[in-house]
Amino acid sequence: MNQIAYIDPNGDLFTVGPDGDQQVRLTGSLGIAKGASKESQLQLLRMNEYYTWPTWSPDSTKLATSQVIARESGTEITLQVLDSQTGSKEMIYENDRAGLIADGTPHYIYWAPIKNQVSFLAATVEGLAIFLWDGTSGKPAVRIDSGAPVFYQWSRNADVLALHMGSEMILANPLSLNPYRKSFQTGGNFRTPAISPDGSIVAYVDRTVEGTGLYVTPIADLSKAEKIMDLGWSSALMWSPDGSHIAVADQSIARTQFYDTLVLVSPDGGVVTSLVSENRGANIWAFFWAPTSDKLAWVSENGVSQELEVIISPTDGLGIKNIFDFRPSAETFIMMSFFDQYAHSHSLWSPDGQSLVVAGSKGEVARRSNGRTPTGDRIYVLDSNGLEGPRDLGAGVLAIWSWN
Amino acid sequence: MLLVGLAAACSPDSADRAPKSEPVIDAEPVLLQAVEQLMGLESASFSLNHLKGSTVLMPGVRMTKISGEVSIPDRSRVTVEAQIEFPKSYVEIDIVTIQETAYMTNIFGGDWNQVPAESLPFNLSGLGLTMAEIVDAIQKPKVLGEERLNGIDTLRIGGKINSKDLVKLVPGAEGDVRVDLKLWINRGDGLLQRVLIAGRVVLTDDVDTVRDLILKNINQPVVIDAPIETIG
Repeated sequence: MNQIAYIDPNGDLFTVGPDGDQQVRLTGSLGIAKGASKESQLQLLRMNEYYTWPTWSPDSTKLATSQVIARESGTEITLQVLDSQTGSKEMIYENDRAGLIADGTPHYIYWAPIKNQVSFLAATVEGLAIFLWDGTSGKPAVRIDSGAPVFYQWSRNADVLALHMGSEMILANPLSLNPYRKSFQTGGNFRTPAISPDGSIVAYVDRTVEGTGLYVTPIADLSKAEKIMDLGWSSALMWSPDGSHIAVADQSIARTQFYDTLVLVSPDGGVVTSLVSENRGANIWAFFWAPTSDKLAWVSENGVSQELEVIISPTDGLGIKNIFDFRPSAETFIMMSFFDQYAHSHSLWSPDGQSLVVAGSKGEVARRSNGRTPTGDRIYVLDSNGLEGPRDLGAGVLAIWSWN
Repeated sequence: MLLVGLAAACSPDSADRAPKSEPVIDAEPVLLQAVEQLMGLESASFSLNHLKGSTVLMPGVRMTKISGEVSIPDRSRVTVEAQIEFPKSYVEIDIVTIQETAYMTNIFGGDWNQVPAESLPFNLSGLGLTMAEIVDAIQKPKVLGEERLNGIDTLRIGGKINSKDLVKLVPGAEGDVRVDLKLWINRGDGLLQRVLIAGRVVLTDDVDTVRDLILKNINQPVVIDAPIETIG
């Protein structure tokens, strides 16, 4: 499977191949009556209804997505699971209140990496809660924890769920027949903990009187936590898919919107490769590991143009290349802002690590060099080698690549 | 100078004369007195509220209000109210500094940690000096009128300031953007009571951001102790 799921400007869900072929409409067409004129067809487009945040299942046969319907009686928010070929769908959760968990975001959806189980965050009358649907048709999702703020990662085999809830780091295995739950306190300014690909180690940030640091601990024995690196005011971390590095974005200067350093550290802390150092003056917003682990993409803000730059770097830091400037759509903005959570659930990278997909509008330089450029948010496929120009797949506000 | 306007208004034959425009009060000496008072500030309680907008505290976390008490030169106790944008949630961060020792509750939770003082997001030990420098940096100050504020007769003074001159008060302030300032100063003793800052001070601010600083209990005794629950 090598498909891109995207939301068009009308709020309907499609899948499409990376070359723009094999387009499949998964929602929306059923609302248009047969034989209706073009004008009345347009009127029949359901302006009171939209889908958002499509999320591929690990085997890419399904897509979970939020659906929002505005009725006279109130707004109805549900979570639907669709067949990625046919669009046949099943509602797995209906919100008890019309609350969002972030701007334009009814749910945060994250499939467990195996077993086709869906975890998600939803705003409930009791507050923010994390739910799990076990994939059984007709069976409701169950609440597995509550609290805020909360960030989490599944281990690759779904044996461990690492939750950072408030100041508590929780390690649990809710999918096991013999579930456990253990926790410890951490004072670090970070969001999502990072589980090693083999599921044996969790990395996190802690703050003590000696300062702030990156810690790793065996999940089997939390007493063996070890500090492997000093850190600044706030940080974001993510393990490479092959387990060879932990990428760490850090703020040497507190109280800004951006990170100013990006390093790769070996899990034993022995080798540190600096991709962006603090004296470079970079405004790093987000980074995403390629599935191949040989490179990562980071997104930084150009302070002059106020546009985002997509930059590709091999893990040795040599041959860093800017491949695209753009202004993100509102949904992409959210995804970039909370990349260390979304990277686990929504992929911008193609499965072969050769391309990326983003939604937004082209930056000024790209517009000037490209003659006529359509306006509004569009879906662009980018060559990570920077050899080919961006491929415009059409109008869209959010695009997610299927998993490997 | 301040009394000239009042004296003229109370003159016994003023009703018989044709209306005259009131003498303009010179803002400069008022500000000078305010600077002197701030340089001598010993303690105060304060709140810095956002009437519009917010201040970035870290990626994805925006501060809406900070309030607390300072005992100059080396003790402060403040509470920061902030919003985490994803998943949307509200948090409070408490910070206590006592001389060289600092304590802070976690942004993502409420537990106290003893932390390096240089790692704190704010340094309020020099609040008086900070405010004195801000008042001193005001350009083209002008008395806008009189106002009774919380039972205190104040003069309202308007002016402009470069955004970078606010860096000690508003973390991350930079650039040479001109920002509108309004100050309320006690007519009696020249103590600063309130400052309204309108405009983009930090790059990430909305253009219509408005911050409201209120000082109270000026030079009143205040006791600031270490938090009971400490780790480390």
